[in-house]
Amino acid sequence: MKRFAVLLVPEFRLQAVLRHSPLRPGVAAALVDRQERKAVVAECNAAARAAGVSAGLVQTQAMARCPNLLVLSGNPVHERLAQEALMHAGEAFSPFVESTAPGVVTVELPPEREWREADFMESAVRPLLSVGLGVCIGVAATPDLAAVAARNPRPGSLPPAGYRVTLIEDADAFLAPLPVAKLQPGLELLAVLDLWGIRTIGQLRALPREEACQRLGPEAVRLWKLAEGGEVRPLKLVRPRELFAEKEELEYAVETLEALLFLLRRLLEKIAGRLAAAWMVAGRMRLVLHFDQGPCYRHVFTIPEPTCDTELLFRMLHTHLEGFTSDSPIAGLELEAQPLPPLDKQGDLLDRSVRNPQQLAETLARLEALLGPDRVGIPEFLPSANPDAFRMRPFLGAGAERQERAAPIKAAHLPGAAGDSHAAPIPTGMPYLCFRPPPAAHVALEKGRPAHLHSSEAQGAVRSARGPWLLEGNWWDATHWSREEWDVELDNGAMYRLVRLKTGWVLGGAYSFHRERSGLPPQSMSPSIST
Amino acid sequence: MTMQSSWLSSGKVLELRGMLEEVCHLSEYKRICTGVPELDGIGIFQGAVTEITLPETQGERTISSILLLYALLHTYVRGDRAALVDGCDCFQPRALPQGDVERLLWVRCRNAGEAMQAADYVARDGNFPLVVLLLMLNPDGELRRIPVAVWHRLQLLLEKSGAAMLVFTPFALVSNARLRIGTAGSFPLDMLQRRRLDLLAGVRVNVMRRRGKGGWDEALCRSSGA
Repeated sequence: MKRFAVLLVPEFRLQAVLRHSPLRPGVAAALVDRQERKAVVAECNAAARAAGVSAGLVQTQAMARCPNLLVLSGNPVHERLAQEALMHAGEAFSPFVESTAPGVVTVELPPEREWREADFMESAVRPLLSVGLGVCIGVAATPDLAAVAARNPRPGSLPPAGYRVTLIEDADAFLAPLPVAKLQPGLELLAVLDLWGIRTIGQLRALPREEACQRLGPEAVRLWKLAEGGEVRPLKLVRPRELFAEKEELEYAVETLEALLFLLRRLLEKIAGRLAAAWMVAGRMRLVLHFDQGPCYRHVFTIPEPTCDTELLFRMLHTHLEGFTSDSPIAGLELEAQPLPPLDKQGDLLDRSVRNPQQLAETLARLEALLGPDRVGIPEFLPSANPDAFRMRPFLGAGAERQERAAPIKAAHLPGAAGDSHAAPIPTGMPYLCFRPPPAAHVALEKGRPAHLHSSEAQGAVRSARGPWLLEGNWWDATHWSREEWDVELDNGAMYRLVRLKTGWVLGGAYSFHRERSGLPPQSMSPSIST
Repeated sequence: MTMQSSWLSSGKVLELRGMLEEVCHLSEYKRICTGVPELDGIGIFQGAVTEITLPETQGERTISSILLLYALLHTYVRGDRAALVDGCDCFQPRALPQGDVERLLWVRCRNAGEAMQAADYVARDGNFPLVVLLLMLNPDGELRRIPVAVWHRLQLLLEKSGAAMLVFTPFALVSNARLRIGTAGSFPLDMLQRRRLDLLAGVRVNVMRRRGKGGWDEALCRSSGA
């Protein structure tokens, strides 16, 4: 025979808040909600009720009845924690647990296990009492009947952190003396039943069912079912969050990449197997390496196309660790995968998506290992007039992916198209190649204009010059910058962008440059050089 | 054969080129459409290295190559993904609108050695239909020290991945380039602030060499700007 237990925390929101506050036991407390600019009592404890406070009173009325009333507001975080504690209590007794409502958890008891209150007390109730939550438990043959039993416990006082168990063996005997209101019918239906003189569930069941339901409507049908003890329904089970992580503390510290990869592969195979069994894929991986000495090393791998393929995931780890060195040997390692449901999507007809995202991620990792992370990616312009104001953004970052999806394919790139009429206009002016860092230049001026240039990249007399273009920014703080730019053409035909900074002249870039071939001596400097 | 690109649309050039190739049996490689009429008129091969450099007779006027580079990035990257392997971190991103660089992987190398290694990684990736290798500002000594075998290996990788690689060099460098395009153009200083399209019209490109089945062939066709 199936049995269900309902764990109900009376005044759940109030208890959830109270258990986190260091209060004296027995203090009158009420939880208020804001309703149309008025604070209304939503829940109150036994001490407050004894002082005449009840739910629905305005706060001022409640305070008038109980001057020492402690008024509290609801806290969603505390409520979530309390609900989790209630769930854990249920899971301790059975794997079939439903989070029915805030403060209410329904548990299907294992049929092969005989009901013993002592067992339940030990595994489910004691943990709740230890975290300061009082609970009422109803045990019956159906979830609905168990809920009624939990809401209507046997008489007696319920301390702030106590419990009460109501076991229903005979549903009819339990329900018959209870008021109809305990089944929580609608107010209209309750009023009609009251007019008929029906006060208890026993009186309700004595009525001819079909005729009464025809007159009272579908809500009466539901009420009759409850009055007969409810029915067994499948629970909406809550599965505990599975953790796809592995940890290993090494007896002997690892010093070589091969040994580390061997261990990591073993951990990865376990995690990937669990992911595959749960029909999940890894969206991210977190690797933590613990050393004999010093702080641990952490790295998060973003997987461009979530997968549970061991080989692909292992290749990412391998590529990253190829360029990794540490001062001390590795004493422990942790690997965790963030699970995601597999993405089922249909490709866009006109979108050119990445052919092999895993390969691209590996290529980017190799490039970053070769050059450094700030040297690979997409340039993102900064809000500044400085021509070199940009920063690098990861190529596979969220922003890039969004752009990938958003940017439509251009007609100019389809076979046979003649042009792209929707393209942004090409900026005005000749582009140039930059020198990074810009080499210092010695510039001779004549009448305020460059007349001769000498730097490590270019030398010669200035044939013609255009400028100056004055740029300035961040004048309001310490990062103030200003630059004076000139375009110059040397007598050998080379053209450069010259920049005068606070610190002196530099060669900003080259439009057209002249290379010093071997055997050519550097040109002589003019005596009237200013820097 | 000299043609004015101003009155000859790129579509007609493509058609004519297709006819010529059919007759001459030159079509071994597919071509990509870059969106730059000057380059599409010649045809950039997929799965091969194309070198864009300066004709020796034009001296040191690199300006037309730089202009072509930015025009290529402006038109191509708006529609598809491309990688720019920057040989000495000299690319100026703000010379293009932000939207143009959203699909551009910019790899900022410090020297030619790093650039060749990075180009190797990108060429074998297969996710970038176009790879641009910019070596224009690298010192001559660095460029001459690149072993020929490296270029051959790049060629093999490109044939596998099917990507097109454009190498911008200051002098003829890539011995096994499938196509070598020379750029030229005269731009006095007072022209530098003109519209980019007007400047581009002044760029002259010509096929310096094209490798056929039996080795190097002389230029078969030329396309020049006004």
